[in-house]
Amino acid sequence: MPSYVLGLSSFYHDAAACLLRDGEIVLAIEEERLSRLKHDRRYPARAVAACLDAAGIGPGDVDAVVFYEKTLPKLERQIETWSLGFPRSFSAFVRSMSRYLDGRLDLARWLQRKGGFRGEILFSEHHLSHAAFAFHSSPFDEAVVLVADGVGEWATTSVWSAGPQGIAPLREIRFPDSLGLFYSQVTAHLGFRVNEDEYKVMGLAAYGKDSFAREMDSLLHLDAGGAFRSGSKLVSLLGPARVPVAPIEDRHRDLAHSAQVRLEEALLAIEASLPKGLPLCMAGGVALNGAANARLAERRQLFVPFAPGDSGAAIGAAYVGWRAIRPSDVAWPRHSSVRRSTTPPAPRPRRRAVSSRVRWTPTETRRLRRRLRQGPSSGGSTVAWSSVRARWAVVRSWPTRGARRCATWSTRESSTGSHSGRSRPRSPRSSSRTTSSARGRCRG
Amino acid sequence: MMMLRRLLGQLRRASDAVYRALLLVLLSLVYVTVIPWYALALRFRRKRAAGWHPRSDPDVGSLARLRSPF
Repeated sequence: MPSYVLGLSSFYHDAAACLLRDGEIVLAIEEERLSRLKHDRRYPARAVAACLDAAGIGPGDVDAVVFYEKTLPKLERQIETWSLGFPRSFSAFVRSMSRYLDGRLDLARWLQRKGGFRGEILFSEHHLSHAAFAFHSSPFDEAVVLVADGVGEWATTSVWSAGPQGIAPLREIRFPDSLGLFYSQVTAHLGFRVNEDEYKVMGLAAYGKDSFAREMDSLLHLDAGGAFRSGSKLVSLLGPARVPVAPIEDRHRDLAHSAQVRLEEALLAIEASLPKGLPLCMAGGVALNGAANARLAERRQLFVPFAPGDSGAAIGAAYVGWRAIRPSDVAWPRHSSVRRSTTPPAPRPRRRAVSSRVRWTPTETRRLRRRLRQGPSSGGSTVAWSSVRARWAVVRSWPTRGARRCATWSTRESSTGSHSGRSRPRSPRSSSRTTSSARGRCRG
Repeated sequence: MMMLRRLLGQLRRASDAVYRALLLVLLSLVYVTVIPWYALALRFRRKRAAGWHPRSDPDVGSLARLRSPF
């Protein structure tokens, strides 16, 4: 009888679910793909239902549900944050505590009640979930894993050793010293949205110069051995924050550049302190910074999974749970399973009431190709063609006016690690060479 | 204990608006009475060491550890 493990990430941002059958992914999907809400953070009910449908099972058949982080250490850290922010933290306290009291304080029971699960409810560590996903989706048999994000439970940066024997922590840097929070602070200071627009800061950095080096040293001070300490007095150091609608000035470009340089220096210092001779897998929100990844890839063989953020942690959590309930199983989950099955099946070509202007016509591929060669049909100018499973997190928009495009999304394309489908500011430093190397040089 | 249980039961049966209002009052009370003392304690506590913390924890992914939300 097959063994099913469901991984979940939710309640912070980018909720997702992943179902494993005997260690192989049946389906992994972000909730936002189904709810159509960007960065949907709610319990991924639709994603869970899609996973169970794909396997043809009910919630009672799942052997273990693995949540991607430990809820109570996280609450402890949040209480400390609210305390240090007193009294400005009132609204954050009320908002978060209301959610906890709605059932998340006893998440195991809440999941059993809400989802109808009868199997074990497990809790993986946040960074362990990230590390498991990065390693098991990589082609390496042995690697060192670097997880860098805003904050998990307490850890903000952690180093793991990974191999056939499993994944074990080596060392970590704890809250409030955080590379992810440092970059998010600068993002907010520049008038962009946190946990969304960090890529704009990365792109903006290419147009500035390093004129805030001294101030950045106070905000992110690098110590020996790749350690660092982060500060928080942005306004006193960098002047007033940019209003979101205000024009971007040279000062903002320089600020973004200095922050990017300091982040890259920190990551390179960490890389230099890692065990030599092993490839590097990287996960966490900081791993979405392609420019920094490119610098790392010049030093060492690097693998960044396609969803290094919190959504991908659902896949990692599922792996952690599967390994725990089947410790004697020698068939370690491998990357081939991730490559094949991380996304939902392509929709069947059936009539659906999406819009009165959209006409659904089931047709064979050969006939469709012939028709496309003939040119646009009367009154229509856009054809969207999905012939394989869709990508994990990216909604890609195609030119619609007067253009006709066919899209077959390949597996290679789905492994690029990009975070958002929006067009990004083109960075002069992010040449095609560095980008491809940063996004999985090992894939060949 | 019985009184508290009865109170919680009544709260659960109350309308959503009443529940939200009571929750807000309760959380506001906790915020102004508990959190400042916690903040004060944090200020007097020994500062955490910055930098790398070595960690040897081979059982981090074991079933017993995963069962615990701590």
